[in-house]
Formats: sequence, structure tokens, C-alpha cells
Amino acid sequence: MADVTWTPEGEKLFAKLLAAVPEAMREPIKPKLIQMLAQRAGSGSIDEAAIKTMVQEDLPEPQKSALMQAIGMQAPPQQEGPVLEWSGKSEIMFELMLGEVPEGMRSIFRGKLSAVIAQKTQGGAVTDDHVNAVVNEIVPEPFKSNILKKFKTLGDFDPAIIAAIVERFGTSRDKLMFIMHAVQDEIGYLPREAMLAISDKTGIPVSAIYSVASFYKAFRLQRPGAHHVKLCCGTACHIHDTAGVGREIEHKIAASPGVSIEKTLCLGCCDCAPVVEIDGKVYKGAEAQAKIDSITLG
Amino acid sequence: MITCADDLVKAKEQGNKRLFGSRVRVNVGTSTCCLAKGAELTYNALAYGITSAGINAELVKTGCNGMCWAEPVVEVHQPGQPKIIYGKVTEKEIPRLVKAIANNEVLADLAIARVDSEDHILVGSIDYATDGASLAGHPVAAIETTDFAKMQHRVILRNAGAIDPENIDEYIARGGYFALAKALTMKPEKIVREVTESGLRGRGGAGFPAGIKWRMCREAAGDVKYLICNVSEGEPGIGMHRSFLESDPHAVVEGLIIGGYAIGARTAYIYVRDNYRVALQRITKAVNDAREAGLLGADILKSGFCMDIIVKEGGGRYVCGEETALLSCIEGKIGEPRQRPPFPTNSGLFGKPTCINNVETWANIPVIIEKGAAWYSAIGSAKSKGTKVLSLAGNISRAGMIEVDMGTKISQIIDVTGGGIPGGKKLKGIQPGGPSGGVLPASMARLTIDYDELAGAGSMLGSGGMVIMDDSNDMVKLARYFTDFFVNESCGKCVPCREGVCRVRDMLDELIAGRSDKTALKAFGDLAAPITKACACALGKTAMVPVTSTMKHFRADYDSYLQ
Ligand SMILES: Cc1cc2nc3c(=O)[nH]c(=O)nc-3n(C[C@H](O)[C@H](O)[C@H](O)COP(=O)(O)O)c2cc1C
Ligand code: SF4
Ligand code: FES
Ligand code: FES
Repeated sequence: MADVTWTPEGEKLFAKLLAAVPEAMREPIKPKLIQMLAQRAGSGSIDEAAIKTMVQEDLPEPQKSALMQAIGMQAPPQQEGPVLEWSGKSEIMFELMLGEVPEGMRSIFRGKLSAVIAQKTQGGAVTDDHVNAVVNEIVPEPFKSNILKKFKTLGDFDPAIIAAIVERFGTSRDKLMFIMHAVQDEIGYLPREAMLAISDKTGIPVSAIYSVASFYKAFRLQRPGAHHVKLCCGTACHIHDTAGVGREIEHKIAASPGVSIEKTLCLGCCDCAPVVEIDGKVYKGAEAQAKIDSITLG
Repeated sequence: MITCADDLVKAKEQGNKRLFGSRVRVNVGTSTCCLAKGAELTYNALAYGITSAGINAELVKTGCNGMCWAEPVVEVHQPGQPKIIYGKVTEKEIPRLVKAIANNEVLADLAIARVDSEDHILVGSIDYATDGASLAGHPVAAIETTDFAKMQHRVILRNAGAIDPENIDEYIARGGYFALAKALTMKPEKIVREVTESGLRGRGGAGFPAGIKWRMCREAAGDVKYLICNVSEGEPGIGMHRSFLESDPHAVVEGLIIGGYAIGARTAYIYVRDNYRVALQRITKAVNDAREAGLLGADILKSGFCMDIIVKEGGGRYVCGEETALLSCIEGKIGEPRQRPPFPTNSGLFGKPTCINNVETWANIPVIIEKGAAWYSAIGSAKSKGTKVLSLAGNISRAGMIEVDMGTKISQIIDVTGGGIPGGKKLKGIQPGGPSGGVLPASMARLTIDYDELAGAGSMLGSGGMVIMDDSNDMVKLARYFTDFFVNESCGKCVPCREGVCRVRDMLDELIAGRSDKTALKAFGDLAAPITKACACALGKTAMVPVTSTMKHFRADYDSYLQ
């Protein structure tokens, strides 16, 4: 692989192509792309044409369309995704999956992935299994693991997770909060069954675990929505929120099932006040409004 | 592995190679607050631009350089030339910035300041502009001449924003861990004496002399002792401890190891608020890297001293910042304050002697050891020594993280460093340090950053979250906001705190609704005394301060609601 050569334009276009690949995947995918390009170019240097052909002919959808667009090629006409009928948790799962896609590519992925699902359902309703199958079959790592982890926040969890976590920290009382944080990171909240399992594995009475879980605001006893919003109610945000944006956000979310809200004191970005944290990222001002609108109306 | 002073020198060279290599260095501030303003987009766009333009650059994610008002902040240092600090570098500015980097040009309109050389308190002068070119007529102002920087003194923030917080070599290159090496050759008693003589007082609020606390813990009976670094930071409107931890985590690790050696503790806990994700990740990495380098664990720098640090994620309750509640939390119990005495220095974590200090207190330690008590105590005012890190927020032009000498006038901080009140409004109130310090009127801006002076005015320095309020703020509503905060944060153990403060909030609601007369104001005063007296911990004891302080200083606001 070390002996591939590039034309100057080819090298530039390749850099552009790589930059469009989400950061987490860039390194693992780079050698694979170069290998495909070397095959395309044969004994010559890799030029722009080789890259474009490779993207168009060697890459699977939906990456293909997204990358074609990113390197300035005319992407194949974007079909509106088919209208799907959702059942069970499948729609929330689908949204969680899309949430992992970089924002700019999301609309392309939405169409393509809907089409893949439509093929699987053959006109019937989409079930949780369909979405699971799509993630397992076509989503690459590390997104696959991330998404599957998020799916766990939707309820059912594997008791083995808790056994492994308790194993890691040990069973003494001072490790309890470490265990609870780890379990919550893993399944998104602390369901009753999880607390029972922690008690079972550590020997700490379940009443003690419950009192810790309910005393500390860091622990969630309810399943979070597909989107979770933390509204900052700290001093700086309070002073700056003269227009009552916070209350407006509260109302919007109250009217949107699937979105959960939590009030916190100071997200630590007082100089950007007022701010909200949406799905783990802090937003301010107009951006925050736009983001809230996109998750509450959509 | 770093096992002796020579290894430290080697690591220092490695770090300097990264900091001052042969290629252009580009720092992008990526603290939580920078990220909120789009620093991630800026970073990605820069990475792409630099790669596709074929520029050989060292692109680094740094912490907060304090200029939070100008985020996203990017610093560009071409070898041999002044470092240029750019502000508000949004994604759309990147193409021209990349072009400027490629052509070795300066974008004067985007630049905030240039740094020719830095006066670093540990390693002395750090020179950027070494190529000898004349700087006369440079289109960008020198940093030391800017209003934002000229009153600051960066002792604790010496590395913030300049180094990669996830790279231990860069910390060492700027004198890091040399204080530890020095301390390990000193007698523990001598270190405690040095800290006492420095005059360092706790930065967590009360200002208790650190050296005295250390001595009490050192002299307490028992072989097993603990240290705790308090990064609970639960007060609303404060972010500097997080920003600091995200910018220079190794300074805290170094302070704790020195403290462990001096006090005789072999385990330290760093207690970090649960929703400080970036800070948690960076301090955890710093602890792991220090351990991997041999600076934690067994036989540190061949001194025979062993120590380890555990990072503990908090539970998101303000009361857990109170030291005895903090102990319960680390023990895995609910965070209710305990009766004192016994004091934690005698019977703390798991019943063992424990020394609890604020994160900024710990970060002062390496400096005191390296520079000596005499040097340190020359900074600051008569009874408040050293510097203070403040987070400046609220109605202020330049909100950010700053550091000034103790004894600096508040009015100067607001007008010069902070750039005054925006929008043609006037200063109305100042909250010097969290709700427990109450709100001071504009006339008291003449006071200085000094524990005793602020306490004398009925307020407190607190941990340094300074909130500035302009004349559009209604102090009655503000008092209601703070009272509501205390109601929500009460742990519920004492009746006056749980019920009394709640009642006060209801009375404020009545007042705001226009259903109260003069007797209500008297009732506030009557309730304040018993609540303050009967509560078990400082949370309840200070819960009435927002009401009493605003009633005293902004009486007109209250009168306007009376029937
Ligand atoms: C309700 C309450 C909250 C507190 N929060 C903090 C905090 O967030 N950080 C802190 O360092 N100290 C906090 N303190 C002060 C601590 O109890 C303790 O005095 C301090 O950590 C000691 O460190 P120092 O001597 O270095 O200041 C709080 C105290 C009370 C009563
Ligand atoms: S004063 Fe309030 S916070 Fe403190 S122990 Fe009593 S109830 Fe708890
Ligand atoms: S008050 Fe909202 S971020 Fe600090
Ligand atoms: S510059 Fe971003 S946190 Fe200060």
C-alpha cells in the first residue's frame, strides 16, 4: 500500500473525501479506501477520476450518496423515503439511529434507511426487529455499538451487564455510587429491576440503594425520552433569560411525548447564558431554539 | 516512566518539542463552554482546511484561555513569531484563516492580541517572537496592553489555554511536577510550615488557613489518612473550577501528591460534579497518565512514598459541596451534613483523619513549593494572600475566567477586565460569590477581593463566581430565585431549613403578587434570625442572606411591591 502514488488533484480530493467521513471512522476506513483506489488506478497514479469512480461504484448506500455530495459530485436523485408504518419502539429506535449520523448527512440517510427498512417489511408494519437488523447489518463500528447501547435505554436490559459492573467495582458500600453511575451510563436510567439486581449482587439493601437513587439528582428513575433536555436554571441563565425562553422550552417539551426534560443548576457555561443541554451537547441562543424546535415538532 | 529528576528533564524536552516545534502550532479552545459556542465545528473545519492545504501544523485541542467572551478562540503560533490569539473564529472564518496560516500572514481584524513572550511564574520567560524581526507597528496589540489582560496575574491559570490538557509532557515542559520532585526531598513538616507561612487560605468559601488544616490532619492520630479535592461547584452561576480542571488537570494532581506526602495520606479523592463530563474525562486521563508515568503508585520518584488518586463522580446536589455531606457521599450514602465536631481532620472519611480542600487551594500548592512562602505571601493583601480565580458572568461585556491578585478592587475588575456593563445600562448589584454571599449594591464596588473585607460588608468571597447585575434586574424577584434555589437544595434534615425557607419563598410570592403590606418586610427579618441560628449546616445558615441583603441594599425594590 505504501507504493500508491497520487496526482496533486487526486490527493486533494481524497483529503476532502476523508474530511467528510465522521471523525471516529476516519482512521479505520482510510486503508480500505486506499486499497480500493489502488485497484481502480492500476499501475498509474490515483487521480480525481479514480476517486469519483470508486465512490460511485465501490461504496454501499447510503454512504455513497452522502460522500458523492461531499466531494461535489451530482448525487443520485434523492428519493423521498417511503412512508412507513411503525410499531412498538421501532420509530424511537429509528430516530436514535439517525441521531448518530452527522447532521449534514441526516436527510440523505433518512431516505435511504427508510428504503432499506421498507424492503424488509414488504409493506407490513416496522417492528423493533427490523430496525435492529438494519443496525446490525449495515451500520459500521463504532456507530453500531453506540446505537445498540442507546437502544438499551429503551427498557429491556441484560442482567449480565450489572454483574459485570459489580465485578469491576467490588461490593463495598463506598462503591455503590460508582456502580449506579456505571449502570445508568449503560442503560440510560435506573429501572427498578436494575436496583434489585445491584442489591442482589452487592448485598446492599435495596432500600438503601433506592434512597441514594432518589436523593441524588444525577440518577434517573424514569426512562429518558428519545431526546433528553437539560434546562439550565443557574443564576447567569436566569438573569439573561429576560424573554422567558426557559419557560417556553418547558411548554414545548411538555407537549412533546418522547422528549424528557430535567432542570439543572449551571451547566458551567454562564458566559453563554442562557443555555440548554440537548442530548449531551450544550446549545445557546438561536441555536438552542432551532434544536428544540427540530426535536419537538419533528 | 519518570523515576528521577533526569526523566523529568527528558519529558520536558519532549513537551517543548510539541509546544515549540518546527511547524506552526494551532491551539483551539475546547472547554465545555467553547464547545457550546461551536468550537467543535471550528476544530473540524480547521483540521480539514489544514490537511487539504497541505500545511504541516500541530493542531491541538486546549482548554480555556479565559477569553470566554470571544469563543471560539484559536491561537496561531508560527515558529519564531508572536503567537496570535484570534477570537470569534466561527466555521465561516476558517477558509481565510487557513490561507493566512499557509501564507504566514496575520488577520488583524480577527485578532484579539499577540503574545511576544510570556512571563511564566515557574519557568520564567517563554519567548514566542524569537526571530528578531521588529515588532514596531505590528497590526495586533500586545496582550499585556489589552484591558482584559493588564490587571490579571496568571499564577493558577499559568497553563490554561496554552497546553494540551491531555498531554503530561506539555505540563512538565512548563515546570510541572518539578515542585513534586522538590517536595519529596523536603521534610513533610517543612512543607506544612511552608504552606502555613505562605498565608494560603481555602478557596472554597470560608477562607480557613490551609496550613493549619494540614497540620491538624498531619498530627491527628492514625496511620490511614485521606485527602479530598472538592470540585463540587454546585452554586448556580459558577463555572471556573470546571474550566480550570478542563484546562490544566495535572496541576491538581501534583498538588494532591505533595499534600499526601506532607500530611501522610496515601489515598486522595477528587470529587467532581456529575454533569461535568469533559472535566471528568480530562482529570481521569491526567490521573491515569500520571500513574502510567510512575508519578502515582508505588515509590514515587524513588522516594519510597506511595500514593493513589480516585476520581469520584458526584451526585448533583449542592449540599454535597459541604464537607461533611461530601464525606457521606464518597462513602456511598446520602449527602446529609454531619454534626461537627468531630472535625474531618480528626474523624473524616471512613472515620479517618481527612483533609478537604477546594480544587483551587490544591492548585496553589505546586507554586508555593516551587517559589517559596516568602514569594507567595508577597502577593495579595494584608490577610488574603495570593491570587483568586474568578468567573465573571451576568450583565458584563467580557464574561470569562480571570485571575487577579487578592486585594484588587471589584470596580476595576468590572470596568477594566470585564469591559463594563453592556447596552448602556448601569451597574446595580454584584454577587461576589454565590447566593450565600448575597447581593451588594453598586456603591460597594469599591470593595476589594479580600476575605475579610467582603465578610465585613456582610458578604463573602465564596468560591469566586462573580455575577454582575445591571439596572434592569428586579432584586425582589432575584431574591425569590435564590430562595427557591435553597428550597430545592435543602437536604431536608433540619425543620427551619426545610420548612422555614419554603415559607419565606411563599411570602415572597405573596409580595410579588401585590398582596402584602409593610408587616411582611418585618416578618422576613423575624424569620431570618431563628433560621440562621437553628440550622445544622452553612446551607441553611445562609439561606436567608439573599433576602436580608437585598432588603438592606435595595429597599426601594421591595417598597415598590407594597400595598
Ligand atoms: C452548602 C455548601 C456548599 C459548598 N460547596 C462547595 C464547593 O462547591 N466547593 C468547595 O470547594 N467548597 C464548598 N463548600 C465549602 C466546603 O464545605 C469546605 O469548606 C471546603 O471545601 C474546604 O476547602 P478550602 O479550605 O480549600 O476552601 C461548601 C459549603 C457549603 C456549606
Ligand atoms: S441546614 Fe438544611 S441543608 Fe444543612 S443539614 Fe440542615 S436541612 Fe440539610
Ligand atoms: S448559569 Fe447557566 S450555565 Fe451557568
Ligand atoms: S474560552 Fe471557552 S471556556 Fe473559556
